[in-house]
Amino acid sequence: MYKILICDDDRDIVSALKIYLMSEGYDTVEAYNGQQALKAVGKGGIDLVLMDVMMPVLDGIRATAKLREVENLPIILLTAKSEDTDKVLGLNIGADDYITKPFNPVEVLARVKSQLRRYTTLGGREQPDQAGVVRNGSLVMDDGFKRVTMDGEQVTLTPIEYNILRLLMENPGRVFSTTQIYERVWSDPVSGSESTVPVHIRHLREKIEIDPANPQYIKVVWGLGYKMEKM
Amino acid sequence: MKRWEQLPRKALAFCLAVLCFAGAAVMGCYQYANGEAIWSDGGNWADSYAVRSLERRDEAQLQLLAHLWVVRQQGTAQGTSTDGYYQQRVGQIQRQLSAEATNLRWQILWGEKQVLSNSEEDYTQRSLGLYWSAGDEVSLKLEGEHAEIVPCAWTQMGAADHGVVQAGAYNCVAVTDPAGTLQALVDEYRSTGTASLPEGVDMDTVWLDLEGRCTALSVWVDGQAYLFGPSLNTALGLEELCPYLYQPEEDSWTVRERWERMSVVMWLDEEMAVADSYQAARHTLELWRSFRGLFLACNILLVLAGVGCTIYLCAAAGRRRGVEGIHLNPFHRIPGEVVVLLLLTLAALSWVGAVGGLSALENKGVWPNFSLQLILVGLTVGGGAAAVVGGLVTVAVRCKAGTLWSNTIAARLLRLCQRLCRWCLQLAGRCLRSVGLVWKVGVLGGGYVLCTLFAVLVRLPRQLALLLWLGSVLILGYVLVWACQWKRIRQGTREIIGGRPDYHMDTARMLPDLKEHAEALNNLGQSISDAVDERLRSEHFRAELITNVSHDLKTPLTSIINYVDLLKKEEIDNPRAAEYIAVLDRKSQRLKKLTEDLVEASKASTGSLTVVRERLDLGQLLDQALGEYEQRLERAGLSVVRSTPEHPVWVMADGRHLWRVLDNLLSNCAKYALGGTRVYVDLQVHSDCAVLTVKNISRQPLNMEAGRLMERFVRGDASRTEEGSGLGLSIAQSLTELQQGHFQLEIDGDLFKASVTLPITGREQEALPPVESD
Repeated sequence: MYKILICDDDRDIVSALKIYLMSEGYDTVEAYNGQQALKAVGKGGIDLVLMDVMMPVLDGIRATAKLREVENLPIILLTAKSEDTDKVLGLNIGADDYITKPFNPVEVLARVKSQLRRYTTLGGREQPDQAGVVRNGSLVMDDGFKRVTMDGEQVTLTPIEYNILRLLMENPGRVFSTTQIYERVWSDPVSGSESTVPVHIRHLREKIEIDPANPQYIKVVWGLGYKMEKM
Repeated sequence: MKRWEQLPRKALAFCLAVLCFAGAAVMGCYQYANGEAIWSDGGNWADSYAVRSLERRDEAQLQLLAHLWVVRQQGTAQGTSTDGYYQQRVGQIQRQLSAEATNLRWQILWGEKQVLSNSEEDYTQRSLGLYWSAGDEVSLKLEGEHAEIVPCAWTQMGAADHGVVQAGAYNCVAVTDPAGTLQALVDEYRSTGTASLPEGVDMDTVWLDLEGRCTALSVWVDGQAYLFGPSLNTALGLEELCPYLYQPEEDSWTVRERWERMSVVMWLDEEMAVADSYQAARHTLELWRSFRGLFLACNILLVLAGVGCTIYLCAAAGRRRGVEGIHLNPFHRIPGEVVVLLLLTLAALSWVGAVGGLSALENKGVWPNFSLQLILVGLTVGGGAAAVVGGLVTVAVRCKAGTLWSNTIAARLLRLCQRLCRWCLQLAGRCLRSVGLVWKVGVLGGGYVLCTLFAVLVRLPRQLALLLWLGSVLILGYVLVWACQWKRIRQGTREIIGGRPDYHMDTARMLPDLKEHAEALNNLGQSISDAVDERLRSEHFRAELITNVSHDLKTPLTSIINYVDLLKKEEIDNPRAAEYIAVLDRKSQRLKKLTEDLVEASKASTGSLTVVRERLDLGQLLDQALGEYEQRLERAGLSVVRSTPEHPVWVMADGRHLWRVLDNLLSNCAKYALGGTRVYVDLQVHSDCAVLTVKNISRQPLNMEAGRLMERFVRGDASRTEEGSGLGLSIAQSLTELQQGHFQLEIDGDLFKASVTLPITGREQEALPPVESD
């Protein structure tokens, strides 16, 4: 039973989130500004914080910075601001994730789940990797069993999708063009440009990513190719 | 203190300065005049100017006395007695100048003979204040009865030099009619003794032998003849000769007036027993002599005080109690020349006075009254000092106020001339400017052409031809200057057109016509710059407003979306309620999309997005985009027909923004294309650009111009019921243009064609590996 602190000055949003989180079996604590959030965390027992950025008394960014001085728990920022600079600022200050309003409740739940899993099961104890196991963040590929897990949940992939993922995971950070991926996965020289590879990658993203439109792992480098983000 | 402040300090200082200088001059003059008596240790006080001037005063009285004496003598000679006035006056003077009344001792001499005196001493033995005055020649006319009763005597002839007449060879003859007697003698001589004239004697010199009936007679004929006639010394007590004058024209003799010099001899009694002005003068001089150092110091002090006052006046000049700045009183406002003239006149007058006084002191004894002389010197020096001090003060004030030069008639005249010249120049300039440029050039050029033609035809002399050549050099210079400035104007125009509307041309030294043009261009640039700034400001303001409003909309929207989602999960039996919830869900999702697009559109159109242009493969990007859209297009019943070159198409673009462009285009296809049709996606490479074209058949008739579609919130269907914000094409266009591309729409019936043109990168860059990017 995880306890999640929901902090937003809009009480309706807080209660909506509470309903969603409770339906998933989480325990919740509410706060309506940064000061209250700090107090609630100080009482202890909180496993994750969902925090709005623009709040009275103490805003989310400063509250996050203060929390980070003492706590290591995951913090997800919620905000109406969607500028890239805002995201960068939030993440730099110590937030673990960032969800822009208006958000999709499913996405919030997925991100909460992912952060909790990382914090509780993977965060502390790093298991020694067996041979043939490739790990990137929450994404684990066991080549021996031809199995892929995301946040501990198994993902079912087609052989081509699995091969593309393996190519990308074995070379995290490297950009592969569609031609290169095609040549390596299909082992055939490509004849003419097609959208075969992009279609497969889209399917792969839909299976792995929480929000396929804003992928965290398999990123599109427009005009150049695709890459696996090194987590 | 208050009283001191209220004193007219400057007037007092001025008076003090003048008094000091005058006083110094008077003291100086006194010392100078009596310099030997005061400053020389062996000097005789009686020789001083002070004493001399007193003697001079008394001499005037003695001269009068001498004159009166002569008058009395004449009266005695003519047998008439002098009247009572004369007697009275003589007595009065003699009393005044008696030995008891004065320390002065005097004798009046007739020639060598003493006739009047108050002392019988031998004046040659006296040195103290000895004063000899050679008076006027006094004549005594002897004629008529007075002459007849006087026994005449032939006296010594002046011809003794001739060596004929022996010493003592004279005789005295008593004649009653000396003139007649002489005439008879001359006649007799002329009739008888014409011969035997001794050597060295003039023709007209007559010698009468002592053995003859006449005594010696000498006649000089030199326009006048002189006869030494009978002596009068017996009667008058004098030993002088009495000449007779012969008038050759009338052939007659007249007795010449007897004349003699009257002299006055004066000296001072050494005892100085009488208390008179002499004694006073002596005491004064002795006082001066004993305090001569002090007096000199006083003199120097006076001069210094005068100079000090002058300096104070110069320093304080123009200042006034309670008044800031320099105050000019009416005197300081008078034109400089008038002041100089006034002061020069005053100074010249006092100079004349001072010089006169001083030169009088040099020639001791010209002035009868020493005090009067000193007063005159004081007055003149005071006047001069006033002029000099006044001049210095006014110069000081004028220097301070800066009107030394400007407040002169010459400066005024000069200013007037300047103004006149400037006015003339302006008038000329205005005339020249009012003439049109074409006329100016035409008349000048035509004149020059005519001149050269004339020169060629007439064969001008060399000097005139040289003049013509100089003229052409001048014209060339003018044209060169014109060309340089014209070049500057063109450059400035280019700058303004090339995006620097605030460029400012320096028009300071331009020719009038060009200057006008350049200033007009400057103004144009300025107004363009202002308009651009204004527009940018308003765009930014709008973008900010939209962003803020969108942010404020997002928070309530979050709640709406979430609670609609929660509603969906509730068990609702009423099917209509479920339908309504579905509508709410759709519309809230659309609202979400709208707000997002709104922010993006405003950012894209104002250019506040950061654009990182990188080298990327347009073909690859197209593949990726189509891959993303494969499912949606398929669902919409559209099939894609693509034609792309096999080699990569490298362009410089921001991948994410370019993806948004394609995203919008393909999303448009999915939304608005007629189901079952084909979507044509072409990528063509031209010499310097790549063109990506998306063509599809619209489901709705597009009854509007292509340009209208790119406007914000405009959609092909007027009803606006479909999904979409109407911002997609506008965003696509703005983003393309941010990447220096070109976005174009064409509508041909139901055929909708969008093309994105991007510049391709150079061939040499194709070899480079793809840029790593996140």
